[in-house]
Amino acid sequence: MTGELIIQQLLNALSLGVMYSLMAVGFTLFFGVIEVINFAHGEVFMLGAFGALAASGILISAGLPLGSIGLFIVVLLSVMIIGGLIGAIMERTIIKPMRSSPEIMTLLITLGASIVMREAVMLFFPNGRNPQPFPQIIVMKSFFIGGVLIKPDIVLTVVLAALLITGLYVLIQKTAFGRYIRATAQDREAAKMMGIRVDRIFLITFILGSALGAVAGLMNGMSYGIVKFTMGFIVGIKGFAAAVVGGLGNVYGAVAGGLLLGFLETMAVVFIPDGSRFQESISFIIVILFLVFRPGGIFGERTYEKV
Amino acid sequence: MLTVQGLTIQFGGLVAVDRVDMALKQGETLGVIGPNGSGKTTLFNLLSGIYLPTSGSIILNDVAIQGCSSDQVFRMGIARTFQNGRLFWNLNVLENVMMGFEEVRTISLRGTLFGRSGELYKRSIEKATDIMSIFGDLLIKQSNKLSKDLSYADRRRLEICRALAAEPKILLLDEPSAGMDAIETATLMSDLNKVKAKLPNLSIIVVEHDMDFIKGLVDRVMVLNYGRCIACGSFDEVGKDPEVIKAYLGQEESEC
Repeated sequence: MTGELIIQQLLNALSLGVMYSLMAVGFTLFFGVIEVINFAHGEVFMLGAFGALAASGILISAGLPLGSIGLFIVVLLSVMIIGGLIGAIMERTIIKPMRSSPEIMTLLITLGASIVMREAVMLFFPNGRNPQPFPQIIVMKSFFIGGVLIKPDIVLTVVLAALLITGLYVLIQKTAFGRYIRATAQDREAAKMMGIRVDRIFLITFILGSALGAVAGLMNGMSYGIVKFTMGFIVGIKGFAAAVVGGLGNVYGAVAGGLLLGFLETMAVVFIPDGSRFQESISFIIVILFLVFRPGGIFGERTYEKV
Repeated sequence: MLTVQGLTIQFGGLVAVDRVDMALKQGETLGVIGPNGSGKTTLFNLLSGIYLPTSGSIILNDVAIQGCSSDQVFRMGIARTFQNGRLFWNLNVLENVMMGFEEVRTISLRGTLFGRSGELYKRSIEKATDIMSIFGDLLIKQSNKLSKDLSYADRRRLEICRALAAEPKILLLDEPSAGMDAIETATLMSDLNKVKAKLPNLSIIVVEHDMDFIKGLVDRVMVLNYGRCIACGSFDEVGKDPEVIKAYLGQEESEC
């Protein structure tokens, strides 16, 4: 295999990995701060993709002179708002009322919500039952650097994910709000006793995580050029797997876990003969290996390190 | 300032706090003593809004606060420390103190993202440093250490600073000297007396087992036994009360 091809595959791995990372960050925030495993997160991803499809469709047909980047920014903001809104509604309607219930109930209810969201898109989105082509938002030609084909979509995806993850890092580590999130994650009762409105922290955490998940949906649409109502399930499970690999509750672990899964999946396809058959299962093999041999995740941190 | 009447909490068949009446004046320091399991920490949990009383009232400056959640009680001016230490381990010393500041009470994402000028942050650091100075430079020189890396005694000191950062009207100290050696306990007592001198309007309620510590710090002592207040008065008066001697002090003497 040529060096160019390996670099090419590394780029693909990176774009897949950052998408998993963004999903995993959501799972890990929900678990780390609210102690909820949100199985509807995959459907927020799917709704992000469909939201992007709708927003770009409306904007393109309106013929506004936005240009590629302008269109992308407006679609991105719309997707984040849609994701955040879905997160807020979910937190207030199904997560908050279940706070004093056993965890298994919350898990079940998010699973139920995921089915409702998926079926709703199938039934009510125009032609929602069928796969839909995703419009090309960035109309730029691919180019070569030293024999490596660079797709602008991939570059944009990676740069955007890096910016969002850096932004999240700054928010959590450098702002007062981040201190409240970290304090709530560690000891919500003590945080409450320091006057922190943990209800509000929970809501904002859900909005943040869901907005990032929806952006991952947009990235998926841009990368593969197609969206379908079933797309959330497997990516949701993989995002969860990445969060587990990173150590559930650890934001940086989630980023690393997502990148690792993206990398291993891509490399399995390239290096294992007929490897594409294993692409879907490789993530779960890795999760099983981690759960058995390193249940604390990549960094092996304890729960007090979470978030 | 704080008036408690008939405060009762029942867990199933156990009455953990039983019709307790107490009153606390501004600037007064009240010691709460009693054998293990007598309801001292439960009383604190009731006062700080963690538990909802079964019956009775807690009036802070003419406002009934029983039934308020712990964050509301905190914002109304009652801050506390914990018997087993409940610092935020993954935050550094400075951040732990800053957690008590007023900005906490007006937190908004917008304010966090756009409303925090460097000046405000600088002022917060200065304020936190000033609060930590009650313990000399012990905490200040460890400002950037994670709180989990502090010594046990310093953790207790930091918890007091974090509670004081909220500028509370009433400070609840739950066994502040637990786990400290004799010298550290004596130093803590003198530091707390400095706090009292510096903040003459601050009322303090302190739960403690160390009698020398209580004697050197408080104006009045309340004795709990089986959730009931069996005596209240000056340290010397309470020490002579036969019921107290029987329930608590006598028990200690026999242990010695």
